[in-house]
Amino acid sequence: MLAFYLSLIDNDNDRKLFERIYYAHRKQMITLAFSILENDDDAEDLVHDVFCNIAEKYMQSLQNIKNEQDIKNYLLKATKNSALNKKRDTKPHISLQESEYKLNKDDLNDNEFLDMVCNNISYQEVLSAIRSLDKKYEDVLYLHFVIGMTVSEVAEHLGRNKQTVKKQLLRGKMLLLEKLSINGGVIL
Amino acid sequence: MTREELFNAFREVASEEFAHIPNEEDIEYEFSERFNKKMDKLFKKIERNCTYPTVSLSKRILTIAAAILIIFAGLMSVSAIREPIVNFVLEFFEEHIDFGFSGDISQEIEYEYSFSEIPEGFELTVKNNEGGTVYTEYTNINTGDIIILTQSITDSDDISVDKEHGAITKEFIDGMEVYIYEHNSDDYINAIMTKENYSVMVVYYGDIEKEKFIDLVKSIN
Repeated sequence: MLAFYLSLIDNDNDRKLFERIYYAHRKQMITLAFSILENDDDAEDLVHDVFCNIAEKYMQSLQNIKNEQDIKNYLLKATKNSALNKKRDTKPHISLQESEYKLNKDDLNDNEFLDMVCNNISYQEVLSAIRSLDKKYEDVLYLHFVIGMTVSEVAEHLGRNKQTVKKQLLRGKMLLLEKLSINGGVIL
Repeated sequence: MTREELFNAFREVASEEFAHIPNEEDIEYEFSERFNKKMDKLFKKIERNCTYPTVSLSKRILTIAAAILIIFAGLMSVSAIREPIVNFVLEFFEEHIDFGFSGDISQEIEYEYSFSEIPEGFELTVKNNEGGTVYTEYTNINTGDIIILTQSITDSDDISVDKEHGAITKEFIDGMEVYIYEHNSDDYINAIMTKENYSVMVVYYGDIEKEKFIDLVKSIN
């Protein structure tokens, strides 16, 4: 009952956080949206839509983010991906590319992956490996591991198909292992 | 390397992507009036949502502590066109009143109620029928006022009304027993009633004269 209202922010903590992030980042978001869409009206519509989406679905995710830089990254990634999706008219380019990949494992457990990366690898090596990743994998890995979003949430957040994100997460993990020359990251 | 250091590496790379965007305070951008209006509307909606969590419907989970069974038969001064065949069961608590139902409890909606007349300026903005509830919402795009009509089966719904920030009165409208809640801010009013074997609620977010609100309630058929 009252489904529409209950899905919106309905407590003071969320409201305060929402207001804070709105005033702290709206101009950065509009700047980024404009740089992709090259139109003021479209950019403003997009920023409004991103905030509506957050108010309806993502306040819990935001409440869980404790690092200010992550909040900014989260908002700007949401803006960037929404703008890119809008610009490319939401054609599933990525899905087609992803379907071409064959992976050598059905799954690579998150804990197993984190342990493999953290053991015997330096910060600079990891930094360099992450930098060399394609953006689509880096986005998925960041949102999943750092922001703590599930595959479904990442898919919705980025406007991608859930299966695509699942493949991108797996491929991203394996690519990173491969770049770090860690056994298990070989892509067939 | 710890996991936190690994996450820092991801964070550092993610931040590099947006490093070219100036700080918020260094960006000179005037949002359009249209954008500001849309955002004001969103903030207003959130404000209302936070200010008026006064009516909530949930599964019947509370034990009946002080139930008062109100039998409609014999109480009505004028016979209603569609006489209710479920009755309110009220439970009084210090901070709220819970409305439950007894009688010929409904399990599915076979007839949908609606307003015969909607006040000028309102447009249908949400309509859905799920989980045993038909939810209809009208919005006045000029004033931001919202009217909500809900019709629910009485099998699983309770209605809980907060007493702390407003007053509840029982009134007879066209022979129908209606509980009206008026928020202290005069910016929220709702009416709860039974029709046949359904619970029906009308909510008005905004400033409306009580008489006009009652006319709205009367127009449900």
